[in-house]
Amino acid sequence: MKRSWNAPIWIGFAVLVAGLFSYPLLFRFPTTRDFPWVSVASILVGGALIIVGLARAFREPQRYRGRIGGSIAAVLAIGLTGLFLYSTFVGARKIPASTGAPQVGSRAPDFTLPDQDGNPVTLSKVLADSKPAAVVLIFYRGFW
Amino acid sequence: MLAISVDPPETSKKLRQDRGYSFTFLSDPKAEVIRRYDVLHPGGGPGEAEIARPAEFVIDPGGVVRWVNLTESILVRARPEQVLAAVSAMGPAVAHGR
Repeated sequence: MKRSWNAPIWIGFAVLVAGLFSYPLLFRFPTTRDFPWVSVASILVGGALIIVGLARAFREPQRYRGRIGGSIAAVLAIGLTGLFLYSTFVGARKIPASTGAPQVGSRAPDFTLPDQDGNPVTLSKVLADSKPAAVVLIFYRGFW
Repeated sequence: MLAISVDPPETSKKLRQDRGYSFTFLSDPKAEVIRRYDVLHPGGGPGEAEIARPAEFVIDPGGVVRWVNLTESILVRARPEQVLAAVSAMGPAVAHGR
């Protein structure tokens, strides 16, 4: 009897990998940016499928293929998942505490910096001249 | 609204045009202001570059900080509604204050 293709392993692997790569694509939605819900769900579903497929490959090797290929897929899946979880939950949190940052109630340090056209912008001048309801300062990482 | 990073003005100009942002981008290539606000992330950028960590401040017309958001993860940023809530929360104080 010809051994049949072990679909759960490969479907599971595809689901898991697609889920990991979905994270940057879902960045524009705050809910999926703050926590990678889709990726975590894909890891669980994909991982379960791989386990199911591997289990039957080893229990009934005369019926199902995938002992070698499935094991390689499983190792790859574990590696990719580990990398993803590390960079998302550990690496992304390795930032300075910024304990010396201006606190609520303190005066915002004044500064002058060039804008996107090279024209100098001074915080105190913006506050005095255009009389905004508030100024929102957004520090971002850059290198986009 | 002022967005600050170590990017040169040309990069910010392009980013601003590409994304259709209308607010001002400020360039702090030597991270001087970023340091003054203690939001430096040494080695946080490509090739161990000094960059700013994500941080948001709301400053009232008197130049006083009224709201600060220092995220614990670079992936999690202040949402627009949080900032708007912070600004509207300070509304009365501004009207009757200084």
